[in-house]
Order: sequence, then structure tokens, then C-alpha cells
Amino acid sequence: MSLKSYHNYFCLLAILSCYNCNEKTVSEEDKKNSEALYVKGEQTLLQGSIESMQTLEKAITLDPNNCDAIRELSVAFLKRGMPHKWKPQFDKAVECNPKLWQPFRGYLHLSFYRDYRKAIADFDASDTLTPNFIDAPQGQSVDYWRGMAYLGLKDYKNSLDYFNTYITIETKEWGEDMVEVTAFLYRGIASLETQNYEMALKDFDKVLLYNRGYSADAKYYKALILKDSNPIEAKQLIESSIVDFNNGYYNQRDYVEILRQIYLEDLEILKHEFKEKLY
Amino acid sequence: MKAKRSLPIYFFLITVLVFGCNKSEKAETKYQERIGYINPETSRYSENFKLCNDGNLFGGYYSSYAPQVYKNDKIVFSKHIQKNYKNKNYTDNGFLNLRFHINCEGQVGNVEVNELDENLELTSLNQELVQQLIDLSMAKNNWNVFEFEGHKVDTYMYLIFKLESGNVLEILP
Repeated sequence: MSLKSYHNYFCLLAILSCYNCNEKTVSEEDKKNSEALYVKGEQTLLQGSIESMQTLEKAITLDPNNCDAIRELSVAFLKRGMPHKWKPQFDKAVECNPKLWQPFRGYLHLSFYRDYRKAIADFDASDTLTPNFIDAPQGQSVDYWRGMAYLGLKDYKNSLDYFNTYITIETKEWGEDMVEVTAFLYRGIASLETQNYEMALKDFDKVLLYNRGYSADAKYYKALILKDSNPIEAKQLIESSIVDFNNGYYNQRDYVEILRQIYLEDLEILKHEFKEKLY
Repeated sequence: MKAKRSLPIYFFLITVLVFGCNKSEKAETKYQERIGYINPETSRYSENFKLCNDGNLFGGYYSSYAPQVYKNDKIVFSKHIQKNYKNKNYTDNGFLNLRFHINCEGQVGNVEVNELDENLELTSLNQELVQQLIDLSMAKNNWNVFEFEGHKVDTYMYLIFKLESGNVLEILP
């Protein structure tokens, strides 16, 4: 065989290889088996175990377009605090199904890494990816998440705008009692930061209304606002806030501290101010 | 002569192309340990550090309980960092990621250090900055020791410091 023949043979193989790698035609049987492996890797096996990871890898080998399996491979890295391993894997899921996973990546950038700008970029991208549809990663509208991301950036105008949009749409479609109650809390905080105390108090009262009167956060922020103008009510509020906190009625979640999370120490400091000033 | 010399190169490239696609074989060997495992031989502060329960960590490497690992609440840890960390004209942007074990006596060891840029990719940060944050994080009184069935247990924990111009903007989880 001449060098030219070898060269042609090599080129043909290279083309075929690339075709096999990237343009694999997946049979219905492989898709079905891939889905079964994904379900096993995600639900039956211990998340992050060798067996689970290998099972998910096999699911992807059978069907390279099994975007759920691609995404599932990233979850263990996220939950174990390994950002440099999480990111490239999750990016593959975004590449595989951007409509579903790009807004979700925004939620993760926001909640697990407090990267507000990257989060907003992903939420904004969802407007183009799914026009006339409001995505809801982790069960909340991208407008809700953008309100929170802009709050993290201390861009209170945009934060208020997005929380207003979210609350208005939810109220119109489902009723105010179906609005995620922390939207009122965070909109109240944004109003507080812009010294719009009247609006802030209204939102904190909404939090208390829909939480049946229990919310350490709402009472704490109300006490902050009222401490000079109505110290007697403010003192009662902070004492009640501490009771609520100790009973577990405060804004928190597993895995990671939430934005603007309050702690008992915050409440005790404010209570101490009342003692010192002898209200 | 020229053709003969080129043959091994062609066959090598063909082999790489053909077997490079065989992802299932790669999957079998890709994961040697569960995700999150910290190898004491490659991590820092492993010498003289011992886990009390043969490496059986309370909750494994799962981190749903992470916010409870800070002693006296995370706000105390955050204030400790902000009060004692000094930005000595550092210019770093990105993240410092520490992963470590806390043994049943509350000692910190087996520290894996990942220095990341703003895109969460590995990079090199100012080493003095890194050492400051490691030293402040490793203090024994930062961390809770959990009990399970009457016995003190070992725990896994991680930290992410978000850095901008050498300042600590956020601490997670």
C-alpha cells in the first residue's frame, strides 16, 4: 500500500470516528436502556457513589442525548462543595438542553456560589430560549430569582422591579395567597434598603399574614423600622421574633445559607439596643 | 522509506481515534472513590491528623447539614473571618474552595485546597491570601462536633470564599 493509500485510509477512519463520536444514531432500545440506567443511577443508588456515577456514565454512553443523566452526574459535585468539578459537567447539561438547564444553572450560581451576575445572565438567556414562557427553575419563576440576584448585587431598583413583576403575575393568575411568601420578605428588604418604609411594612405584614403570624424575619425587620418611631411595638416585635426564631419560624434551607439569612445574634443585638436605651 | 517511517504514526492516530470513542470502558475506571473523598496522602494537614471512626464520616460527604457544622452559627464564623483577615493589597478575583475533615475532637485536617478563578476553573491565587484563610478556617473553635448514638463522630465540611480584589465578599455554604 502506498503512502497515499494509507493517507486516504486514515482520513476515512477519522471521518467515521468523528461520526461515531458526535453523531451517534441512538436506537429506541438504547434510549430505553439509557433511561432505565439513569433512573437507577439517580434513584436507587447512593448519590455520588462509584456505582451510581458509573451507571450514569453508562446511560450517557448508550444515549449521549440523555440530558437528565448528564445533569445528574453534576449533582454530587455540587452538594459536596466541588465547584470546579460541578461546573464543566453542568455546562454539558446546558449544552444538551439549554431551555431546561440554563435557567437552572442560574439558580445554582445564585444559591450555591452567590455569583449574581452569572445567575442573571442565565435567567436573561431563558427569556430568549423560551419566549412567552416564564421558566421556573427549582419551582420559582426566573423573575423571582432575578429579584433575589439583584438584591444580592444591591441593585434595589431592579430587584423591586422583578419582585413586582413576579408578584403581579402570580397574583393575577393564581391569587395572592399562592405567591411564594419569601417574595414579600425580599421585596420588603429591598424597600427597606431604599428607605421606603411604608412599602416595606406592608410586605412584612403580608409575610405574617400568609405565615399565620409566625416569622422571625418579618418581625425583626419591622422592629428595625419602628424602633425609633414606635419603640414599644418594636420591643414587642423583637421579643416575639426571638420566640419565633427559637421555634424554627425563620427563613432558612438545607445545604447552604440563604441570602439575607438572620441569626439569633442579630435579634439579640437589636433587643440589647432596647435595653440600653431603656425604651 | 518515507512511507515506512510514516506507518507507525498513522496506526497510532487510528488507534487513538477508534478507541478514544470507547466511553463505556472509560466509565469503568473513571471513578475510583465516591465523590467528595479526600485522600490524606494528597491533602494538606494530614500528618498527625487522625479520624476517630476509621474514615466513616457522619452523613458521609453529603452536605445537607453543612449550615449546622459552624459552631455558634455561621454568623460567628463570618465575623471571625472578616475581623481577622487582612487584605494586604491582594488583587485576586475568584473563589477559594477548602474541603476538609473535622474529627471527633474538633480538630481539622486532610485539607484539600482548590484555588479557582471567576469561572470556577483551577488557577493560582496569592499564596499569602490562601494561607490566611486556611489558618483562620482551621481554628478548632469554629466547628461543631456531632454526636451519634452517644459517640462523637467525624464530619466532612467544605468552604467557598468568594473573592473580589482580594476581599472576601461571600462565604459559603
